Amino acid sequence: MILRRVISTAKRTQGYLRQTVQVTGLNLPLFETCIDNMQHHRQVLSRQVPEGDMEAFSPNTSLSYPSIEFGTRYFTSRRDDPLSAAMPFDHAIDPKGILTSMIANRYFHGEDNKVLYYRLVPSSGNGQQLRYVFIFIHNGRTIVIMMLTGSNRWILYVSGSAIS
Amino acid sequence: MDPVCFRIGDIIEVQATISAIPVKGNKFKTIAQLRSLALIDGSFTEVSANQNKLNCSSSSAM
Repeated sequence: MILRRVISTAKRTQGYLRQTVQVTGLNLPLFETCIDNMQHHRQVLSRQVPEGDMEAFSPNTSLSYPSIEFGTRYFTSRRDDPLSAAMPFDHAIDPKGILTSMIANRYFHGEDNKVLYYRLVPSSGNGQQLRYVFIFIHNGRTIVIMMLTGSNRWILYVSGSAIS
Repeated sequence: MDPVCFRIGDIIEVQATISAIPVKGNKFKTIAQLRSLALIDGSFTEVSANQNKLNCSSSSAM
């Protein structure tokens, strides 16, 4: 369940502007599993860096329930990703061209900054099952990537190679 | 789909990337990057909004 949705347009450093959503499962078991999985993946990631260098992961609390905040920045720094191609903002994301006007040499809007929005359309055949595949191409300073591909299934990528 | 369609209280599905990013002090932090948001069910939000509207109109009539 969505608790808070923020599309910040405040005048801040553009590298930190981002769209976020805070989600809670109201203590339902599936959401507890999601938090447990994130803790597990944090443990896996912590093995890729020197011991003690990974900060602890702890879920937020909203309405006295555990919640997780997901966010994506609108811009990527050219220092972090000097090669990726810049992309135009989707009209739905930037209808008045405010974000587009903020693009400068040091920052660009690329594939890593995109967020896709869907609406479930029930089909008469297989019930309400979402089926979509997301492909993420990494080029920044992130060291290891994991993807949730729906229905609590995860794929782990290390240095571009799928290992599980 | 237009992101302004989403409302607080909607039932959604999130796709995210769990990444480790470098932060100050040669440390790393685990973050959950939003990749996609799917609206599964907005009926609870609509019922709640209608109930609030009824409550407001009944209190203003008194």
